[in-house]
Amino acid sequence: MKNLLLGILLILTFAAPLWGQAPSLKPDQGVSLVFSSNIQGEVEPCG
Amino acid sequence: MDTGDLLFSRESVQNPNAKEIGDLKADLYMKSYNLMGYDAFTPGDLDLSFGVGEIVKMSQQANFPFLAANLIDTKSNKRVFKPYVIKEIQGIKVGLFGLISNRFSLGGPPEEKDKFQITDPFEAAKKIVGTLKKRCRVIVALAHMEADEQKMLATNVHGIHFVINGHLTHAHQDPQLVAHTQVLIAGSRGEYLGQVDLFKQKRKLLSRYQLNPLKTEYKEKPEVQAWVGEYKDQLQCVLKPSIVVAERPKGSTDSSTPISVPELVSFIGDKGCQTCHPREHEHWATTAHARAYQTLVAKNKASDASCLPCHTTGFGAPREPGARFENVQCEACHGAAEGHPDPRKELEDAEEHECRACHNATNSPNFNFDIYVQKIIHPK
Repeated sequence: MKNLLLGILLILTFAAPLWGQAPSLKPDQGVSLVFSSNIQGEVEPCG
Repeated sequence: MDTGDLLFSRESVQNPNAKEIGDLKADLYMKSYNLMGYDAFTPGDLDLSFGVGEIVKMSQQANFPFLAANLIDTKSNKRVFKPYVIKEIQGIKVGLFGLISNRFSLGGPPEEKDKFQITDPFEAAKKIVGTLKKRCRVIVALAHMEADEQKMLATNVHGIHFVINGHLTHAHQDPQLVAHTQVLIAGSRGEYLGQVDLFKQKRKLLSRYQLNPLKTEYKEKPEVQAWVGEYKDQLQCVLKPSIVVAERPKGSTDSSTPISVPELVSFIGDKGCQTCHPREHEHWATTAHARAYQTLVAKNKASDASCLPCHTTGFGAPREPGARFENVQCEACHGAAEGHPDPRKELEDAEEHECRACHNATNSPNFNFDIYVQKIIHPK
């Protein structure tokens, strides 16, 4: 019984901080595709 | 990457000096895109207004490929530009390929007639996607086409992960899912940059999409600022003045004297309206609409064809596309007055969506229709 409680405590201690977290995004491992469209001759806002 | 209609709008391409202005803009854009590290460009129908040869010249200034899988030189039966490019980033191979709708007709000089052809984009896409599938983890179509065509592309050509649309100008905050393909539309006139982030999660590759508004708080690159200054100076040299100012004949003070309106037929100008609507004209003269052209003059942009449609009246009208009246006059909101006051030619007030064509996020970020409209409603 004592070992079982100790086991549950260990699981909660290490697993709890991970619960409910979104997967981490590592910018150095990601790829971004960036695009523009239909610029239509705009160089800067007209005013 | 960029999916086309870079150089002109539907209105500005009608300007008598559009080709010369387009040459200046092509130079400015290519230098700037090289600096930003663009990877690919697919031309749109407006870019092709003055012929494929002009766009080939533009491509020679670029440090990145122009992509069009279905733009063909009919004599050699070869493609004018590369059909695709493969980029390997962080170990992920991304295949980019370009398509242009064959509903668009090619402009250009007579000697180019029948020299080039836009072939069936769907057939071209099937072949290219078949090749890219073997080599790439992600396949992206730079598709300059209409809404129903991009849906057909996503539905009928399997294996495309993203269709990045050119041509459609209304930005969508979220991807449109068609079959297993995400269709992305990032608006027009540089209001937004579209961004797809890809990230690995174990063996899966996940994506997230966002539209980034390009607001004025972003700092200018000094090199680009210098290039824009050069562009403005050169622009003044190529433009021929075509502003039309409606005036009564010299010596006439009689308001019933017909107004001489050279060149323009369908728009009569504010002086023409003033004759019968003096109170409304007096009120209009106090509004920002009556000073719209001066704001361009103050910014040295009075000859920029991309600005003129929203700061003048009549610019781009079919009969005299290059002519216009200074400022946002009566006919900008009420329509061309030719034929008025004939009872069959009743003029109407502009609707909100017509105001928003100019009061967009870039040029009028604080626009609130209900508040702004109060400033221009004429007192009873």
